[in-house]
Parts: sequence; structure tokens; C-alpha cells
Amino acid sequence: MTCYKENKYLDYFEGLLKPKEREALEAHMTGCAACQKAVRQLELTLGHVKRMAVELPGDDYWPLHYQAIRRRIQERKVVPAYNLNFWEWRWWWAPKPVLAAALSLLVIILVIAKLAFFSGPLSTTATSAMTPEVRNWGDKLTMGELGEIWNHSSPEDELQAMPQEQHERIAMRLLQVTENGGATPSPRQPVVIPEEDDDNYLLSPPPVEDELDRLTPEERIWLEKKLKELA
Amino acid sequence: MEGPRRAVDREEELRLIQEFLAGNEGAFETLVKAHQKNVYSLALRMTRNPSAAQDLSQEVFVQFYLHAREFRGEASLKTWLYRTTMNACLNYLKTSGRYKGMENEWSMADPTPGPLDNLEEEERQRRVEEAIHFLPPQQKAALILRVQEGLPYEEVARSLGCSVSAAKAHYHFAVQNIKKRVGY
Repeated sequence: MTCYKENKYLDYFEGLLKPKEREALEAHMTGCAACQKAVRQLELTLGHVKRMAVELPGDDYWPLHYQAIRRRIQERKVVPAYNLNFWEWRWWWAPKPVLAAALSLLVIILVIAKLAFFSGPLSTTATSAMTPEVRNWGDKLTMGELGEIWNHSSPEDELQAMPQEQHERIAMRLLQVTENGGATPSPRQPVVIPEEDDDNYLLSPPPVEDELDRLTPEERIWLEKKLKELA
Repeated sequence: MEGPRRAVDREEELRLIQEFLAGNEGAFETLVKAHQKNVYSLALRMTRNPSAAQDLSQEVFVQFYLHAREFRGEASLKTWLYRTTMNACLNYLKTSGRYKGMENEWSMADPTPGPLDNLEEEERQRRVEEAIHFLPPQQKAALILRVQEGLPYEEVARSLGCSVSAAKAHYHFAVQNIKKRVGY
């Protein structure tokens, strides 16, 4: 019966214990015959394992060994690793300059694609304030829908794809924003038009021009049209 | 000097593999000659059968001739060859029925008349070698790679195709089983 698990003695014997663990075990072993015996048995056993000899053939055998390998390859018509078809090609063996050139080309293509197809709307100059025509709509626009109208890059297509009710909600929301001095209300909450010196009005509304600036010229034209229809 | 020398050997090895994959059969011959003794020695330790060891070690290099492009260079070629050798030896031990035979002998054998301490050196050596012979293949493989080849646990794990903790477990159980068999 030993004081520690077998693995501990093995790790100690192989020098794998942390310094503090090793010191603790050595301190323990100075007074423990069982643990000393366990380590000595390990030493004996592993020593015999190491000394287990295998008789290797003499030096004159090894050329014959290689010839036997070549004979097997020829007899079995083994296809060498360098005769690749397309599906067997492995990228990690491609010459490094070729890999570097391929990666650079890929990066360039991705950058061009990003610039060409995914750029956001261009900033616009401030436009004149719109007059409010419609008030007290029941539905309020969610922040997601607002994000859509602020950030989309193809206003005509996306706006035309939206249902009529959503057009009206977007128009209403934009009205509220302009009336509210540019502040976007919280989702699903009624708009609060603050009185002057109202201490409860916590948000510092951004200027109207900032919100309107996010609209492209096409969006502004569409919005004015909409407002006229709704009036 | 061990560190830089090993780095040069690895680079030389990768260069030779690259050359072989470019169609240079001479590079293949150089790689075989550099590793054939190690592969044969490992196969012999596992099988304890010289003709099986010759057969298996030759087959390992045929596999390398066919699949060299699968070698990614993350570990050394020696580890890749050892892994292939181990797979071949384990298959051999299973299909030849030798392991099943050993399993029965292991469970039925009389666990030695006395501990190793009291025996002569030669008898001790014979007992330990016999105990290794009867180990389950994975434990024997872990023991040989760790003790006789001197590989760290990470290399043992790669050669066996298992995790480092599994490799440690195989090794620890191997040592325990040997100690049990010889009477400790």
C-alpha cells in the first residue's frame, strides 16, 4: 500500500512533477519506506524496459530492404504522390510564392467587391425642414425599421418592396423625428415632444440636419411625395 | 547544439519531401534510408517477429510513396512514419489473432512466484520482457515509444493517434500491468 497514486511516482521518476510537488514528495520519502520502495521498483522496471534489446539486421541488409520496397511499388503499380489529379492536389505543398500570390489576389478581389457592392449611402447636404402634415398615428416604427430606412443603399427597390402600411409608418416616424428635433423615440413608446426647460427630457436630441442628412436625395424626394399623399 | 541541428534536419527533410513531390525519386530513396532502421526497429519491438517486421516496415514506405502529399509538415516525418507503423502493427496484431491469444494468456498466467528484487539480473530482464509481450497493443505501443524511443507524451500521442492524456493513461497502465505481472 503506497501513500500516493502510482502515477505520482511515475511522474516523479520521469521528472515531470512541479518543483513544489517534487520537494513535498522527496520530503515525505525521507521518512517513508513504502514510497522509497515504490520508486525503486519503478526504476528497476523501467530500466529493464529500456534495456530490452532487439536484434537489428547487419548493414548489408538495408540496401536489400530498400530494393524490396521498390519492388513492391513496381509490382503493385503504386501511383507516386507527385502524380496528382486535380482532386488530390493539396494546398500546403504549393510553392510559397504561388500561395502568397493567390492570397493577395483573393484579398484584392474581396476589397473591390466590398467597395463596389456594399458601400453605404453617400452623405448629403442638409435639406430644408419638412412641414408636418399628419399626426397621431397609432403604430410606431421600431428601431429596426428605422435602421433600415437610415442605412439602406438602394432606396427605390427596398422601399417599393415594403407594404403600404410600412411606408406610412416610416413617414410618420420621420415626421416625429423632425418634430422632436431629431431625437429618435424608444421603440413602442409614444413620442414625447418636450416642453422648454423640461427636466424630464433626458435625451439630448441630435440636430435635425444629422437625421435628415442620412437620407439620400431619392429618399427625401420619396418622403416628400409620401407626405403630400398622406396630407 | 541539439536545437539548431534538429531544425536543420527538419528543413532538410521538408526539402526532400518537396523534391519527391516534384518528381525526384532520389529524394524518396534518401528519406527511406534515413528512417528505415527506426521503422523496422519499432515494428520488431511491437511484433517480436522479424519477418512480420520486415513486411510491415516495407509497407510503411510504400504508403509514404503513395500518400506523401498528406504529410503537412506540422510534426516530423519520423512521427508520421511511426504513426503509420503503429497502425500497421496494431492491425497485424489484431488480424493475426496474436493479441487475442495474448489476452487469454495474460488473464490465465500465474503472476510469478516472487518479486523481481530477489531474482538474478537476467531472470528479471526475461520477466519484464515477457510482461511487455503480453501487454495490450496500445499500452505496449505507448511504453515502447515513451521508454525505448524516448519520445515526449505529445509525440507518443501523435504516433498513436490519440490525445496526450490517453497516451499518458496507456503508458501508466502499461507500467502498472508490468509491475503486477512481475509481482510488485
